[in-house]
Amino acid sequence: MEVEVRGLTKTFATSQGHVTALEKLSFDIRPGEFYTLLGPSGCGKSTTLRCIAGLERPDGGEIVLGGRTVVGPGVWMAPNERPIGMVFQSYAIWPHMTVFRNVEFPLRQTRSWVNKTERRKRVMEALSLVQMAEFADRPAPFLSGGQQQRVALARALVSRPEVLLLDEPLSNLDAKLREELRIEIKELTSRLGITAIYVTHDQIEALAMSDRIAVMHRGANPSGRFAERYLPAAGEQLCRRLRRTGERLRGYCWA
Amino acid sequence: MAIDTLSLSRQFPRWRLRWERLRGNILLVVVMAVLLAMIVIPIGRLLINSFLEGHPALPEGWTLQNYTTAFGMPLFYQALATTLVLATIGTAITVVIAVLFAWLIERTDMPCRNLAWALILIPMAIPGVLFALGWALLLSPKTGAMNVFLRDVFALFGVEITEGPINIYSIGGLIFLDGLRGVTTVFLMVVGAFRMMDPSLEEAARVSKAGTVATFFRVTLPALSPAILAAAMYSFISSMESFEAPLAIGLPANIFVLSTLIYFTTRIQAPLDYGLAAVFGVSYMILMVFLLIWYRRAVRNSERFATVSGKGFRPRIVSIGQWRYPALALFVVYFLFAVAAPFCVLLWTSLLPGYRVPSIDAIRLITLDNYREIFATDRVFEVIWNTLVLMVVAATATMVLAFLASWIIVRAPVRGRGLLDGLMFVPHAIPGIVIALALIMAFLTPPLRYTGLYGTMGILVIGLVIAYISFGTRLMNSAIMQVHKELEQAAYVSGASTAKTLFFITLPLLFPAFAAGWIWVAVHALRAFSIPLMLSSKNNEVFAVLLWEFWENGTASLASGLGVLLIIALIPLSLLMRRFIVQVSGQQG
Ligand SMILES: Nc1ncnc2c1ncn2[C@@H]1O[C@H](COP(=O)(O)OP(=O)(O)O)[C@@H](O)[C@H]1O
Ligand SMILES: [Mg+2]
Repeated sequence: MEVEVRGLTKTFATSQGHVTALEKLSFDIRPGEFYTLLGPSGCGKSTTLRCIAGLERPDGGEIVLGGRTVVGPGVWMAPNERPIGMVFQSYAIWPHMTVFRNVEFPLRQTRSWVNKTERRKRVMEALSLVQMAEFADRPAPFLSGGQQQRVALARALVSRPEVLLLDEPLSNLDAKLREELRIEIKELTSRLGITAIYVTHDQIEALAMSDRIAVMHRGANPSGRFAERYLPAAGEQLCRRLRRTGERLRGYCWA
Repeated sequence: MAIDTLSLSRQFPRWRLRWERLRGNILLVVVMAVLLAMIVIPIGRLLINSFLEGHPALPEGWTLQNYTTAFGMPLFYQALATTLVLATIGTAITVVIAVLFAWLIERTDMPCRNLAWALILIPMAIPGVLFALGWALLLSPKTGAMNVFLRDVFALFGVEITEGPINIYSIGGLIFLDGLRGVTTVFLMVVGAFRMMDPSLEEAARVSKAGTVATFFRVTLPALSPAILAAAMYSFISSMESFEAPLAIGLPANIFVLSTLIYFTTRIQAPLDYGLAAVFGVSYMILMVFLLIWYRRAVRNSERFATVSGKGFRPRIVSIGQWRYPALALFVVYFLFAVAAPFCVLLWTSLLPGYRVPSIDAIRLITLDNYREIFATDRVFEVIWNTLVLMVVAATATMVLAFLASWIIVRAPVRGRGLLDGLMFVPHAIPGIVIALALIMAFLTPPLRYTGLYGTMGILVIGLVIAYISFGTRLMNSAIMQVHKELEQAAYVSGASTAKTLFFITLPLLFPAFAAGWIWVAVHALRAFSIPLMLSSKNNEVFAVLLWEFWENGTASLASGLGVLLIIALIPLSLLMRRFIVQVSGQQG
């Protein structure tokens, strides 16, 4: 599914005044693409992803998923109505349910209700995709970090969303596991032909997985607000560095 | 602190060593002895007296008669059943209201949330007895202000009744009061969990196609259920021990709960029967100990299954759309019932010569005469003095003992500290009324009879210290764990004794926690009711007891006046106490 983000703006009110997290951000993602938002911590990657998911309401701009505007002037679609799945940095596995129940959850909601036999089939399918089928009946608190991440992935995929959002899904795992899961996620998404938006601050991760990378940079001027746009100079510098390190990068930068 | 070094053991004979060791530990020995005496003697006395005939001071011999009488009494079973029913339904109501408000105030875009946060604390400042008296004035069947209003409304529709429609003097009335009463405590126990809950758990539900309502019931509530369950159990235990409303509302309607049954048996019925009361007390105490053990187990289990991590998440606000104003209205109704209505009716009553239904006509009669009369009573200054003394002495004694006990539990290298830890938890399980009963018996018999404290302020102080020492110890335990051991050890190696180290190093370092606990006890002592009432005599009356006496003598206006003064004193004190406690527990993470 195609994803278009046009002029996205988001400001947070905090006790110290307003923080502009995003200002007039625009990009397009082609159907089936693995698209990565790369940038340092605090530059607004998560906010962008959360706006696409509907967890954050932007102050301006619009987001179009597969030709359908999900948020824009006078338009608002709740997160549960959007054709998305999401994997959180903290995994967000519900501790009061088993693995099976966690993954089953999206299929029990009115909007995506599936009958019992079919549900069982699809949950087990999703769990096998991430090699967690034998853990189906395990209570969620008894899983390791890597296992939780796999369950989170299965839960995000079980309702067959068109767009998969991943917010630094590997940052809480150790190096070896990270490498393993990196490959798995990449394979899985290309096999399913799903559009994936991947957020990370890790260049190597971005290079290893992405079809295209967008480099985000936060340039704050002394008043603490955003400079006009994402700073071209810094962006280009990073792109140059990326080209040097990543040989076969079909890199794409905006600034 | 026992530091016997090798050189010491070579130079001195064995007895000398023992003595040195005891001398080094003298403070600990004394503290442990005092605590043991304070807790074990009264409980032991209560047990012994349950097997004795006659007045505690003049026993007539051993018997099992008390037990056979008690367990053959339908009233005892009735009281037990009423206590359980009341606590169960009351807690259910409390938890529903408190959890709903915790969510609305902490996690949604309900209007005026900050104000609501402050207002929901105010019921802390209204002693249970005044809450009950306020509602008695509002809803007594004939003259209750709210009943009169309801009858007027009914009359508009052509329904004429002369009584009711609501009678507060009923089991329903008791449940209503109990349900409203616990809301603040449960709110405070669960609101932190709502705030600290990882918001991505809910967000994961939203992107998994669940709507706001499904998310709340399927994810938020179940994920918080350990915290909610713990709060519910705590509330249940408090309800089981409640005394004020059952006394003011239940007794006139012949509805007994365990606490009022004991009060009735030892203070009202003729002849008084201490043996029987001791049996009630023992049974009540055993029941509560089991409940509390069950509670501690549950809490410990739930901590293992932590869904609420301590990370500082940004709380995410859920939009509830068109429900924002109905939610606010619900809160306003709660506040009216829990604070505004009972307080206003007390204020109104205190300003009129005698109780009258609020009306425009009656406004002409408003006077300050009741307040003048209160301050013209000779006793009143003595009572105020007593109350202040009780607050200061009880708070100081409780916190000093709690500090020493905690220090032994956390730091002292002596045997028996585990025992002490367990011992400090026991009073928490004993209802105030049973503490008072046990003290009466203990101070009417040797050895404590020789102290001559029976009927004085001294026995009151001891009662409150026992009642509050569990809280104080818990507070100090966690505070002492924060103080690095080496700060104390540096004092020892500089030549300070244990006592000097404790009072000049450890205590100053703990001062914030000590002060918070002190204020907590002082505020609770000011509004304490069951223990001062049970132990009251001519010489040790405090504010709350005088107030009750006025009410019982039919001078509701004077009782209301005292009540209004008490609430006005308690509002700032309670808010102050809350701030201190939050600061301290905030520091402790
Ligand atoms: N709920 C919020 N309230 C206030 N400020 C926020 C909130 N969420 C994000 N921000 C701010 O917006 C900026 C971007 O945050 P985020 O999107 O989380 O960055 P990233 O994911 O790239 O690390 C940061 O400066 C952050 O402090
Ligand atoms: Mg982020």
